[in-house]
Amino acid sequence: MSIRLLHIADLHLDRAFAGMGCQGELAIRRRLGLREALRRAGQTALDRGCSAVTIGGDLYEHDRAGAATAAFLVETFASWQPMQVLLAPGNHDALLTGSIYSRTEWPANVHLFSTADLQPVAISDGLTIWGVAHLEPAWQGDPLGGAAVGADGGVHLALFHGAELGSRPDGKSIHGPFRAAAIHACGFAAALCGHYHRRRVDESTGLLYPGSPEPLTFDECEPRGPVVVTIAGDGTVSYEPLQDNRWHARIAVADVASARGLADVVEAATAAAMVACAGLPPDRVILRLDLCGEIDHAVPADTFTVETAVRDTCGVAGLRVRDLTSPALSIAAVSSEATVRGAFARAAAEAADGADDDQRRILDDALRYGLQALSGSEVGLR
Amino acid sequence: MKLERFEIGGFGRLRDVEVDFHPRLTVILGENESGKSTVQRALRAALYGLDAGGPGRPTEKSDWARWTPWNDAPYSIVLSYALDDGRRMRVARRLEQRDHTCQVQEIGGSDVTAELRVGRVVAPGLVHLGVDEAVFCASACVGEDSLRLGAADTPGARAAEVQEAIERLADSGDATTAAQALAAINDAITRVGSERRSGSPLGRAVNRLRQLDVQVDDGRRRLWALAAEEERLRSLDAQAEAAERRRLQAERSWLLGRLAGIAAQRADLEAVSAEITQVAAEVEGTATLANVPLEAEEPVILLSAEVQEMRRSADECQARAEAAAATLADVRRRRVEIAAGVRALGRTPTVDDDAMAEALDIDRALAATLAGGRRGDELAAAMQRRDALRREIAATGIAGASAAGVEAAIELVATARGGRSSRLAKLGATIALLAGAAATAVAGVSHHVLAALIAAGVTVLAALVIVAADRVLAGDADHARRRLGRLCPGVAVDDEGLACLADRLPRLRALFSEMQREELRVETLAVEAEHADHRLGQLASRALGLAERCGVAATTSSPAGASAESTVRSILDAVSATSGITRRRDELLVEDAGLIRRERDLASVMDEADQRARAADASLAHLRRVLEAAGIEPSPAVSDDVVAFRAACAGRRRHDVALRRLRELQRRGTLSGDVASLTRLSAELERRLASRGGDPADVAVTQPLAQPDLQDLENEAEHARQAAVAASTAATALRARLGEMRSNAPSLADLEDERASCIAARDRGLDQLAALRRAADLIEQATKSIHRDLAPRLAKSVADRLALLTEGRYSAVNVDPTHFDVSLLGRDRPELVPLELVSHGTRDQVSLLLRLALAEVLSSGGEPVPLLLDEPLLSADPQRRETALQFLWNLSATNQVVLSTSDPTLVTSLEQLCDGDQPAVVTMPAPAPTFETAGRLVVAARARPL
Repeated sequence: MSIRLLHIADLHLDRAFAGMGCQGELAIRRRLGLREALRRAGQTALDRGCSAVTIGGDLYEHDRAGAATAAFLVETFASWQPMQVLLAPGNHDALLTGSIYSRTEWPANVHLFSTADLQPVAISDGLTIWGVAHLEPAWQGDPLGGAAVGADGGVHLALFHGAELGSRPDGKSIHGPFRAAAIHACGFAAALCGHYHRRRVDESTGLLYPGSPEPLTFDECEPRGPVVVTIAGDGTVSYEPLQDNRWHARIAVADVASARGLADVVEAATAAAMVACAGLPPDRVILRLDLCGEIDHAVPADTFTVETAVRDTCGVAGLRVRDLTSPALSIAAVSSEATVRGAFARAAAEAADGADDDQRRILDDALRYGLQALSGSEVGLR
Repeated sequence: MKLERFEIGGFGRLRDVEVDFHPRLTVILGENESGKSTVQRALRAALYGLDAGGPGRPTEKSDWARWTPWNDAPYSIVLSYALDDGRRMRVARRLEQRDHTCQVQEIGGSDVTAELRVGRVVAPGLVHLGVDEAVFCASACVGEDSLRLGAADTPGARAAEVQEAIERLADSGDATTAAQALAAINDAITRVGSERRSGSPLGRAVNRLRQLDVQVDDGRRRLWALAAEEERLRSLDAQAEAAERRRLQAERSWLLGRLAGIAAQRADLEAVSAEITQVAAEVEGTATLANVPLEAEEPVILLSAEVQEMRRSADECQARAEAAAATLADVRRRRVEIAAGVRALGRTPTVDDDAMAEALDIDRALAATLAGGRRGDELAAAMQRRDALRREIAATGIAGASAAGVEAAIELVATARGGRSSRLAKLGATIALLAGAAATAVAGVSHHVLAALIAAGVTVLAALVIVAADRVLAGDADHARRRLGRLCPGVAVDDEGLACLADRLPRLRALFSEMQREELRVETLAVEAEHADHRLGQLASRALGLAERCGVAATTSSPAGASAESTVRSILDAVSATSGITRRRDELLVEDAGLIRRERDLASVMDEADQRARAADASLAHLRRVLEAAGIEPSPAVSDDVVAFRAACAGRRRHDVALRRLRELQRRGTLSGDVASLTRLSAELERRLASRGGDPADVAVTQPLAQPDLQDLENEAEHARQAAVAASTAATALRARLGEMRSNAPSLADLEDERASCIAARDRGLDQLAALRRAADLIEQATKSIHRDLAPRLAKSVADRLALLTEGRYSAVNVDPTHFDVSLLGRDRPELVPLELVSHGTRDQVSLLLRLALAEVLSSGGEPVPLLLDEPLLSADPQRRETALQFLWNLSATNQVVLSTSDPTLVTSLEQLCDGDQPAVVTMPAPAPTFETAGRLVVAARARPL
């Protein structure tokens, strides 16, 4: 007889979405969307007859989560009874003193792993889930920790929040580092993990990252949702990724090189946004629009104007416009002029030499603004 | 730069046009739409290339697309020109493709295309003229009526436009002025706003951020307070729960202890009942012993022990009395024997201890005296030895000498025998004389007279000394011989006699010494013999006195000398004998006294045996009386009686104990109540225990608790109950407060989202402000620098040309560095005259010269810029046109002029002005009819030189 589990991770309840250009009502909607994702996951688990829901860390964000979140979790988990809920705290929801985990009375169906070494929980005859908790936000221990399980012939699964070193995305922080090869080596049939927000299902090594159920950054564009894990009677483990996200993140790139004015820029940006959001409910799309290309320095690519225009046209819920264009003129040629403009370009170049990154960025904008002004155009703010 | 030849394969409406330029002035003459301006545009394209679009510049709207030949002519141009250094260049551009090609060949030289490439564009004009296309257009390309650089109505406005045009050229290549650019930047700064302007985007963001900082901090504090209160609530709940657990535990313990006590009480009741039955039977069984006098037990035991001890002692005394009876008979028999012995010894003198000590002392003195009497033998032997020594002295033959004379004779013999030294002296003197003679002779032979004399003198002196010494020694020996003759009469004193004396005198001296010692010994021994005889007499007197004192008689049968010794000895023997008899009698008396004491002791032993036997009989009788009083039949053995009495006492004690136990049990039974009430109470307590989570089965393994312990548990339960109530009350209040706090708790995520957005807006605004201000600063600095550099150079360039062209009418020009305001210093007025106050013609000339000067200044020392004038005098009146043409002809001496016009009279005027050095005139053909083909206007054109 097979056993089913539903695994989710990296929900990040109470996350701030300002980085995605969301604020006010939109940010509240996004946070409510995260709670809704947890409810849907539980309902899916109940519908699928899962024995337990496993949560691989970063369920909430400790810095912002309050009593309302604790109450929500208690209420939600209690509504799933008698289905078990296994919680393995991660780096954002570490099991700290005063944390929601430690100060909340959990329903009887909730098991909270509370040690930094693997502890077992028997789900049914022959199936044991071993869990690890992050006791501090910067925990660097090995979650597998050289464990040796499986001598009893049963099926053993590991549940933890950790960074698989062989598939770490660029720039992703390392918390609980481990190697995928260690999963089978330690006797586990699979490791139900959290930390990486992009889904990864590796049946050969037993490594499972379900990814965040809803997109949390612009680059989390792919479908996402929980993963149903089925343990067959013979001990084999299979995975069924579900697509269940209600919100969509997209990145659009608008080439405005041919623009001769702000209207052309708005037109190109709107077209790119429309293409990126095609087929998606606009009220649940968070879009980042990058303006790029060499643009006549006299053309003001005012991002605020572009943002307003695109939002009005496409109706996306969240929009962030970045001006990544560069002026379409030879700075070297301008610098060779004996005019004020040439002297200005030379002075800006000299000031940029030896400046730090922030000063260089300011000088780059200053050069752009100055050239626009000296070309007789309106200065377009980036 | 001097343009030489220009060939146009196809450019706009032009096709196959060839222009040969005059070194100074070339006139392109043609009707309107004949392509005069196109020629000038093509010239500019040859020098700077043709923009074909790019980033931000659509190709279809580019110059390249605009000037595509209208007909099928090849889209190409070729320009030849000469430089001041004599080099000649040929620029060939093929423009059919968007990425058109350009080749620059130095005529008679090599390909210099690469040297003239600036970026992706080959720009000979930029390299050789030193100005970019914009500046070239603004300075060298003068359009219709643009010698005045504007068409304003008032002179002031015209001058201002001249200045602004110059400023635009200097600042941005004719796009705008630096001041206008700064105004645009300030406008942008105004749009961004500032942190203090609450109405601006930046101000709004900053203000809102301040509010949000406060709200976020407040929210965090409230969340922390909420968490702390929740923690406190959990603590209170835990305290209440713990207190409740303690209360229940205490009550369970109390109930268990109480139940265990009841169970024990019931068991005790049952045990007491059973024991009462048992003890009552025992009391009844020992009732016969109830009157046994327990107080007599110890006296009986002591009495029996005493009886037994007295009996044993009496038996021992009896045994000793029987043994003493035989001994007593022996003692009495011995006493009879002693009495007979004493009588047999009779009466004898008494020799006491002092007498015996005196006798012993006399005996020791006698022995000592007798030992001194043996020295007589030694005296005789000494006298014989002395006589023998005298005979031996006589036998030496010099017996006449005394002992003292012998000592002197020995010394005199030695002196007398000293004559042998005289002979040695004579021999020495002879040898000295011989040696002196020999020395003298040697000295004489060697003619050393002084040495010979000294040697002879020394020799004689030595011989005299030796002879004198010999004489002295000879006198002493003779004297010694005479004295020897007196000391040793009868002995010859010649040498032989002296030898004999020297041999015998030491022996004689030894004999005299030994004889003196023997004579002294004889005298000593004689004195000691006299002293021994005297002491023996004294001893005899003492012995006689002793004998008299002891009453003994002495025998004196020995001779006189020996009589004293024998007397003493007989007296001493008698005293000794008398002393032995006395000692034996005393011994017998002493033994008799001992036997008397022994006889008395034995008699007392026999009396004691009789007394003890009587006492033992009396005690036994008393014991039996006591036993009979206790109802115990006496037995033959006292020990059996005691055992029987003790058994009776033990029975009495058991009876008493059982009786007391029975009474105690009866009392306990009365106090413990009845079993039924205990059972009911136990059931009630078990119910209460079960209601508190306890198990009544635990009673079986619980020890009953004492009353103080039960009281302690009751107190503990009460305290725990009070603590639980207090904690629950506090928790209830806190829970209500927490509910309110939770409902009012802010959403930190919402606040932080908005705060992050405000921070981003603020940072963005601040970055924009920083960039705009930096741009403004840099532009201002650049403006000051450039203007300060350009103004004097412009003034000098204009002044030089103006003086030349106006034949000294204006000698100086001033250009203000701020906005390039121009003023002139002329011959007619002492002060500088602003440009707006000079004549139209002068102002036009200055305008053109300013353009040229700016081109020169901006070109940084490049070639003179050729002027391309397109209908510059179209609307000028004849007078002004003549003046301008004259100015242009003069100017063409330094800068080549290409002038296009549709007015043939202008050519005539020029020919009159030039007077011999005729300018080149290129006549453009009349425009051909246009027709549309493939959507484009096409016109056939052919230019030919006049």
